[in-house]
Formats: sequence, structure tokens, C-alpha cells
Amino acid sequence: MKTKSIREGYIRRTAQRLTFIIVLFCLLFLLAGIAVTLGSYNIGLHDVYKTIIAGPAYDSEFTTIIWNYRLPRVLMAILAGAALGLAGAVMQGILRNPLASPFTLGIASAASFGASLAIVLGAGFVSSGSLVVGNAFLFAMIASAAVYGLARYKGISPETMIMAGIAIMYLFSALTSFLQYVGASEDVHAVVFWMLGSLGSSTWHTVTVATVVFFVTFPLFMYLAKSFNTLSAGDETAKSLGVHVEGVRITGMAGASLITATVICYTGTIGFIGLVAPHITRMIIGSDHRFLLPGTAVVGSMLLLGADSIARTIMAPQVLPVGIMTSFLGVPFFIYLFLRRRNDYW
Amino acid sequence: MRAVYLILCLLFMSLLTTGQAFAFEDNESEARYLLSQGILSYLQNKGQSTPSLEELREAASLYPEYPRSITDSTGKKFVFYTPVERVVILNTNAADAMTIIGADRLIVGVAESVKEKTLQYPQVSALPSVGKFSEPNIEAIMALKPDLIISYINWPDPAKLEKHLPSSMPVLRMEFYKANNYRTEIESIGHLLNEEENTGRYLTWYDKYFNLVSERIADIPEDKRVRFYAESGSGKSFGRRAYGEGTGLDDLCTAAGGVNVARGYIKDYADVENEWVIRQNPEAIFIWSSKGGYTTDERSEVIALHDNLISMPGFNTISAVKNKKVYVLTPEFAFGSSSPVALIQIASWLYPDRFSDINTTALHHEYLANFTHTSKEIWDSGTFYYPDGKD
Amino acid sequence: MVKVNVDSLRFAYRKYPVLKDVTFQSANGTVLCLVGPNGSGKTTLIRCIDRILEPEGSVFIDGKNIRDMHRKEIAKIIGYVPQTGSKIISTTVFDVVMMGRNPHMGWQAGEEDFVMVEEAIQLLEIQEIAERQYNELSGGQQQKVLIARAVAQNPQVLLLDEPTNNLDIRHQLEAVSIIHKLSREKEITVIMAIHDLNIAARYADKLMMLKDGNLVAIGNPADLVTKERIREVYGVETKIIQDPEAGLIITPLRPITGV
Repeated sequence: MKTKSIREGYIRRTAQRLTFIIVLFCLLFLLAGIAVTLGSYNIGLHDVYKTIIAGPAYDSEFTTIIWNYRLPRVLMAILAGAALGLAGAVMQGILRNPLASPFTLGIASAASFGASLAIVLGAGFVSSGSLVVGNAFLFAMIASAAVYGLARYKGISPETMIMAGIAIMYLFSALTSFLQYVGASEDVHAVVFWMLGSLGSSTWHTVTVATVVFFVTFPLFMYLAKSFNTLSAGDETAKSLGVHVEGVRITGMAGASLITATVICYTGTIGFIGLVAPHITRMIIGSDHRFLLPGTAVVGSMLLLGADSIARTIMAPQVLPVGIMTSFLGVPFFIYLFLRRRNDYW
Repeated sequence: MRAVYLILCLLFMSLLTTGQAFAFEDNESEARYLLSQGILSYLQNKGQSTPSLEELREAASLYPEYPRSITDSTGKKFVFYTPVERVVILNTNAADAMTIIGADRLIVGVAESVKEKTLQYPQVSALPSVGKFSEPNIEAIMALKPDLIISYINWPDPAKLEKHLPSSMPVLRMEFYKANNYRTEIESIGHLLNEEENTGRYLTWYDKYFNLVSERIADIPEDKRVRFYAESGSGKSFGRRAYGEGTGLDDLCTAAGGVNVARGYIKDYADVENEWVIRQNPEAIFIWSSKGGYTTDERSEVIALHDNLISMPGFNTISAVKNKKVYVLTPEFAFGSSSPVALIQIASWLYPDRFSDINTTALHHEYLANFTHTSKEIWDSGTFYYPDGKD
Repeated sequence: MVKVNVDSLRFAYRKYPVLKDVTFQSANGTVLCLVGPNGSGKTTLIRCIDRILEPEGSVFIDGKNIRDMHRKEIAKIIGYVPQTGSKIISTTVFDVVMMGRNPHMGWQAGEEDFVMVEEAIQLLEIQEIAERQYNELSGGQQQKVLIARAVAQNPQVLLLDEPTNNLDIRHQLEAVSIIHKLSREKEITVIMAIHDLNIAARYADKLMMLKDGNLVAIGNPADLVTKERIREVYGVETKIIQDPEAGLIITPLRPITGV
């Protein structure tokens, strides 16, 4: 093989990866377009788009439904899916562990505990919705600080971080179980509800916050993408190639924790996407983080939006827990890719 | 062929005898039957339910008042050869039932949830704790030496309760809150505990109002009945959870003459979209609140449930919101022994013209005075439903 | 001209000292081979020179203490080839070699980066496997890819940790002669830890023997490799033959018991 064609191969692969992301992005746009037409209130396709184009001030019986319920929900699905996928991809990359995700590192279980604590001990679930959200966020950040602190004490290697994360996860799961044990039964219902996750509470407020955090962390991750790539060859190699390993790892973990905490404090713990979206993307376009990160964001968005749309419609008017649908949708696809690829993708 | 015939005969006979156990004209015929069955099984020494000689001896001396039997809501039958004297209750609904039949003096131990209800059960709530309703403390139960334990049908798991208890401490599984078998449960516990008089007095009152409502709404055709939406009141935080057939709130509102918009779609409960509620355009909305009741410090949360719902975007187009027919109900008002008052209240919300002659506050006071041990000072300080005109 | 100056380097893992006061110099464009038994501190020394580990003492490159340099600056000057065996999250060979450009390139690869990568691939003759996944390669192929990555890094000092470990004899010779050629043609100062005394003696401009974290001897291979010294360092009786074609041939005979 000539060296010239090696370069062509590289450029071709790059083009393919870019094409994949762009095509998927267009599909996401299309899916979002379909998702806004779905719902219990029967609104014709024409009316849906007329209402969207006319803007939130347009006076129509559909305006409230489209602008206050459907659009925030669809946008939140896109943002939450992207954020969870992104957080998983970053964590898997910098810890070089295929099982790393917001869940296995204890961040999600800490958020659950924070929310549960607010529900069980707080003044109540209703009047203190913001207390629940704030507490979930606080504990997610405490957990990632604790993981970092433990790892720092032992030396920040991927192994110690994972071990510290697992320890934190079990600690907070146990604390949540304890709260469920001592809590009043009606509060426990709310806790379980929270732990199943839902996009039903999406509003423009949650969408705005999630958007801001996403557009702060995503460029940071993209800036670090090249360093993430180098980290995949091991800490030593990364150091010898000029990467400030600890700095990158801490920044990456902090960013991933922030974006995870922001999303799950509004949606509850939607599992699975953070773990599987990065794997699906990696199996298709490889592990160059400069493509993997945006790719995972789009795949995560599609998974969550697709799952939520099905969850809303399949047994309408009942809305199924979205976590169940993400698994139904993602697992078969994951297994298909897993079996189809002969070689070791990780 | 002969073997098959024999088995069929045996089956038929066993059907006859079990069938017989349910229908007795009076205490005496029941006692006669139970005692003879007990003696027979003692002589044949068959099975676990065989009474001891002491039990039979004592039962004979109490005859014809005892033995008595009861079938709980799981269909399990229990025979008591001697009067029940020590009862442990594992939930608030059992406390409620024991109170209205006037048998609360028999209670010796209660679940944590009962201990919290100091206003509703001033005496009973002071009794020793036996743990959580779903996770009872077996040692604490055994130490109280109860001869009867009352728990929910589904909680706690038998592996956490019956499995560890001797057969001398039978566990009666009753709900005491679901309208469809509430009457039967009250009647049978009243009979078992020899409180037929109080039970009869309560059930007469109970029937009076249930019958009154069903009579007054009987002539309303199906398509003229008020369409309502009921939800669990989870608030803003996680969307809406609708109550359908099979839930206590649906039972009550349906008995009051309403038609649930979720009928045919939702069994028990399910999450629904806000836009579905808007689309259904219910004429009345009932919100279930886990907070409130006798206590005075949870009023703001009850009100928040109401205010959060009516301020949802687009909900101002719903007739129930437009016509101010959004109501919050608390379990201490709507479930269990006070349900006739709640039924009247709901019915008068749905059909004000047909129930304008009834003062529900007075009716509630009547209930509190006749069937509870609550102190008069707290009758008007709680938040049993909202809006209640107390602001 | 002295390129690398290592001055009283000490390093301990926890409290266990691995390097005890090592001092030496290496001239520009020469090959220095580190030899010594297992656990003598070869790998640790290499890592300390690249500041992957933080030792006591100093390492000067062209008279500049690397402690005062940024990681990226160090990476522009020093290339490091680790031992093979650690997995890399699935990547093509091309991408692995491209990693070598990390200290030089921006977010995206530019023309110069492509040229350097292609040159490195050509030099190591790995064109055929350039598009394959790194993890699917044999140990020998992986070793070549890692060397190519260091070459693409365009360093002035190249550190190698047992680069012949996974190779058969043909590839061992190939790899070492490529490294030797690099040092000559590009004036790269090579410091290489190596097990095989024969190869070390043959290609090294200078040989350095380590034992238990101490520098035992440093000098010309011909002067340094004696039966006595090998007995002292390795505890092995050897036969050493001076061959006109192959240079020094060191054949171990038997271990000395009780050493």
C-alpha cells in the first residue's frame, strides 16, 4: 500500500465519520419533527407546524400544547440524551473502562439520594420541587468530589477512580434504601417515581438550564478530545506525548459530573443511555473522540427521544417509564452491533 | 370407575361443608357447627387447625357465644374458640376499623404509622410500637402475646410475618379502606370481636348515606353525569399520574355519580401527559393528597397541589378549572370510616342542586362525635379537603 | 557534545528505593544501551528521564533542566516507546502513529503532521497494516507501530523500554538497526533499555550496566563486557567471543549458585 493512499484512507474515514454524524443529525431533526406531532391531543401535521412557525405568541388552541408541553419535552429528550451519552463517553474514555458511566461511578445514585432526602425529610414533594432538584444536584457534585478525593488520596489512576466510584455508588444506594425504609409510604412512592426517571416535567426553564450547561461542557470536551484520544493509550504514553494527564482527567470528570447532575436532577435517573450510546457510536465510527463525542451526543439524543416518543404513544394515554423504553430500544440494537462486529471494538 | 365416583362424592361433600361455614342464621348455629367440627378434628387429630383440649374445654364453657369464625380478605378462614383479647394492628386503617366498632380497647400494639396519628387516635397511638407496616418487628409482636394480628393484604410479605409467628398468633389480612369490600370486612370483624351492636350502629349510618347518594343520582343518565379526572397529586415535579378503575378515589367519585375520563383507558393508575388532561376537558378534577387530614401544619401543601394544577399552562381551558371544580381530598377524610361524609361531599360538589339540603360540615362533626375519640378542638383545625372555605 | 545529562537521580516507590544516585551523560546522536538483570531499575530510569515519574536529582537536556519545562515542551524533545502489552482502546495503526504528533499539532492534523506520520510509517515499513486495528496486531507489529509513533513525534532524544521484547530474531535485528540508523541520520540521542546483551553490545555506542538501582559501569561495549563484570552483575558464567563479523558474542554457560 502506498503512503499516499494511506492518507487518502484516513481522509476517507474522516469523511465517513463526519457524514455519519451529519446524517444522524438530520435524522434526529426528522425524528424531533415527528415527535412533536405525537401526543394525546389530536393535532394535524399542518397545524403542528403552523403553530411552531407562528411562535409562542400565536393565538391558537394548540399553542399551549405545542409550545408548553411538546416542544420542551422533545428538546429536553434531545438534551438529556446528548448529555448522558456525552458524560458516558467521556468517562469511558478517560478511565479506559467500558463499564464507566454516570451510574457506575456513583453520580446518579448520589443524585437519587439527594432527591430522596429532600422528598422524605423535606417539607414535601410539591411545594419544594426546587429543593428536590437542588439537593439532587448538590449530592451528585458531592459524589464526584468524593470519588475524586478518594482517588486523589490513592493516586488518580483509572482503576482507583472506578473503585472509588463503585464504593460511592454502593454507599448512596444503601442510604437511599435506608430512606425508603424509614420514610412514609407515600414519600417512598415519590422516591421510586423519581428513580424511574421521566421527561414529564420538562419546561422551558429546564430546557434552558440544560442547554446552557450543554454548551459550556460540550466545547470543553471537544477541546480535550485529542487528549482523551491520547489517554486511551495509557497514562504513561499520554504523559510522554505531552498531555497533562491528571488535569485532563479531573477536568473531564468534573465536566461529565456537572452535565450528568444537571440533567438527572430534572429528569430523575434515566439509566442505560450513558452506558450504551457511547458503545453504539464507537462500534460504528471508532474511538477518535473528536468524532465519538458529537456522534455519541446525537446517538444518545436519538435513543432518548425515540424511547420517550414510543413511551408516550404505545399505550396512550398511559405514559410508560422512559427508562424501560430506552432499554427495550437500545439493548437489541446494541446486541446486534455487538454480534455483527467480529473484532474487539473496545 | 368406582374410584372416580368416590372422589367425586368426597369433593361434593367437602364443597357442601365449606359452603356451610359461611351461612349461619345465628351465633348458636355457627358455634354448634364450629364446636362439633373442632371436636371431630381433635378426635381424628388431623391437620394444623386442630384445637387443643384446653381450647375445646373453654369454648364449651362459653357456648353458645363461642367458637366464632372469620374469613379474611384473602379468603383464609380462622376459628376462634375463645374471645379475642389482645390485638396487634399493623396499619392506620385497622386502627380506624377497630375504633368505629368500639374494639380499640383490645389493641395492645401498633405500627409506627399509627403512632404518628396522635390527633386521630389519642389513646391507640400511645401504645407500644411493633415496627413498620411493611417491616414489622417480630420480636416486639411476640412479646405482646397477641391472639390476633391485623395487616394489609399485600403488606407485609408473609415471609416477614406469618412465617415467624406461631399458629396461636393468627394474621388477619384486611384492607379496611376499599369501598367494594369495606362493608363486609367491618361486619365480619365486628362479629368476631363480639361488637355486633356498635358495628350495626355504624353500618346503619354508613348505609344511610351510601343509599341516599345512590337514590338521588339514580335518575341521571350516563351521558349527563359529570366527567371527572382524578390524580395522585404528585405535583409539578414529575408530570401527572392519573387514577383509574380499581383505585379508592375512583370508587368513591364513581359512587358519587361521576364518570372517570380515564375509564376504559387506565386500570389502577398510570402516568399521563398534561395535554391528555386538557384534551379530556373534565368537568371536575379530584387530587389525592398524602398530606393533610387532622394535622394542622400541612395545609400549605394541600393548597399547593390545588394551585399547581390550576396554574399549569393551558389548564385554564379545562371546564373544571374554569368553573372552580378542582378539589383536593385527603385519606383521613375520604378513606375508611369517614367515607360516607366524603361521598356526600363529593356528590354535592358534582351535583350541588341535589344535595343542597345537607350540611357536610355538620355531617362530618356528627361522624367525629359518634364514631371517633378525637377531641372537639381539632375538628375544624385540620385540612380534610380543599377548597374548604376556611381561608 | 553532551545531549542528556543525568545528575544524581534517585527514585523510590513508596519507601523502597529503586534508583540510588545514578549519574551519567549521553552524547548527541549516540546510542546508549541500558543493561542489567530484572529489577535493576532500567525501566524506572527511562521513565524518570521522561519525567513520567518525578525523581529526586536532575535531568538536563541541552543543559536545560526538564523540571522547568512544560509537559508539552518535554514531549517535543523526548520520545518514549513503552513496552508493548498494554491495550489501546480500539484505534487504527494510522491513528496510533498520529498520536505522536500530539505535542506538535493543533486540534486537527496539518500537512506537516501527515508528512511526518507517513515518513514514520514508511521508515518502519508498516504501510500494509496502516489501516488495521492496533489491538489485532501481533506483538512484533505493535512494537513497530509504537516506534513509528515515537518517530512521528520527531524527538531529539528517544527513550525505548525493551523494544525487542516481543520480536523474533529477525525483527529484533530489524528494529534495532532502524533505531541505530535513526540516531545516525537524524542525530537522535537514543537511550534504550534492553535485555539482549549481544544486540546491546553490537549496536550501542555506549553501554551502561545497572544492578539494584546502582550504576555499575558505563563505557564502550568492548571495554565493558567482561566475564568478571557479567558474573558480578548477572551472576552467570559466560563465554565471550570476539567475532570479526558479529562483534562480541556472549554465551551464558551456567548460573552461579549462592549469588
